[in-house]
Amino acid sequence: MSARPALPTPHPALLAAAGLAAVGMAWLGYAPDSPLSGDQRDFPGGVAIGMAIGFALMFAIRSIPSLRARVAQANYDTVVPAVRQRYLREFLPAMGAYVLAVLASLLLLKRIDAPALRALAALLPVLPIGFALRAIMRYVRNVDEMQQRIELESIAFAAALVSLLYLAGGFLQLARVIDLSASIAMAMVFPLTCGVYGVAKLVVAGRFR
Amino acid sequence: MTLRRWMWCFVAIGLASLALAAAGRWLLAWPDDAVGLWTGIGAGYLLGALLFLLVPRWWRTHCDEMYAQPAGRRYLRALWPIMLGYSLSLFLSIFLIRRGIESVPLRALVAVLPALAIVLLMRAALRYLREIDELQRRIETEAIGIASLLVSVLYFAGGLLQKAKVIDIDSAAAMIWVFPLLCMTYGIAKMILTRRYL
Repeated sequence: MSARPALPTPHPALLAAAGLAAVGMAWLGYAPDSPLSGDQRDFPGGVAIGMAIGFALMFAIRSIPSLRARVAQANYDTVVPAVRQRYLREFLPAMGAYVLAVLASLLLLKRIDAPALRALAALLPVLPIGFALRAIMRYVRNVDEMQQRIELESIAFAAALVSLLYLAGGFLQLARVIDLSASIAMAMVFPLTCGVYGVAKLVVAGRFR
Repeated sequence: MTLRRWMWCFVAIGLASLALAAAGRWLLAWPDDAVGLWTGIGAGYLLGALLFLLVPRWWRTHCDEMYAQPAGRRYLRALWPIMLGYSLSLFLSIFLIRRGIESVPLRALVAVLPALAIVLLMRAALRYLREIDELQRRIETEAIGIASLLVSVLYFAGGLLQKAKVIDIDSAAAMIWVFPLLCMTYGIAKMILTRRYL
């Protein structure tokens, strides 16, 4: 294996735009002279923190050689570029739409009182997540046999670990050791599964080669 | 162990629990909630046995074949002591916590006791997954993948609805139900995939 495994480099303009957006969001969320007030700042502040974590992860993956090798092995070595490009073309717009849907849903929920309409407004972000899931499923179906096995085993491992974690968490909640809000606990199942899946993939891919 | 024999096991456990509840009610003068508990357990097992009757025949023969293979037999042999341990530790944990434990770390330990049995269950399942043939493994992992995506999206939607105060679900129940829901969705997905691949 070469010293610097190939990871695709994002277009510099794209990176600059994303960095600018993150700084803008941080300003809206945290600057004393931000035009937003009170709880309006929560959303841009959260987006800024999320983007900062994303940039930090990207930097870590690119600069730590062993991590870089693992990520390349798990995600890029055997995946045909066309398959990956198609996946990104479907997945990234879905995630962009998701951010907009969350924003729209938050704004709508402040104005709506009828329960049925509230339910519709609240469920707005599920639609783009559905499209993201479709992109993931299509990707898993299109990659080669070996990569497919890596993906499926990682998802299975993530599902097992997260459900176990939630089982333990539920028992702890019943015993009043912890006190988590139901909405956060429920909404976190999906991101947690995705996160564990991403880490598991690095380990599983290492075992296969 | 065929599915039909599993069904009779369930019937036997269900009837025994109901008999225990009846004995507690009329002979041993148990408190009402103990009688209710055992009636519930008995009814649950009988309902489970009823579910075995609803299983289509092709699925029954397929399961019987899978569990007749060495990997399947080993899996079942590992499974039943774990499930027994799970039920016992669940009982013990609920009993101890109801009685009240002052120290928080100790209460946490007693509370997660049943989850430890599930760790063993997952280890056994992982071993089973490694021992079966390629096609079966593909079906299993794909079924788990689909189940995991479906359940996590369902929970995501539930979390949003809860946040918007449209529904009001207890957070302990919400967390505990991830695993059973995942198992059920996985079972259904596996049936559909098996139909498609075999």
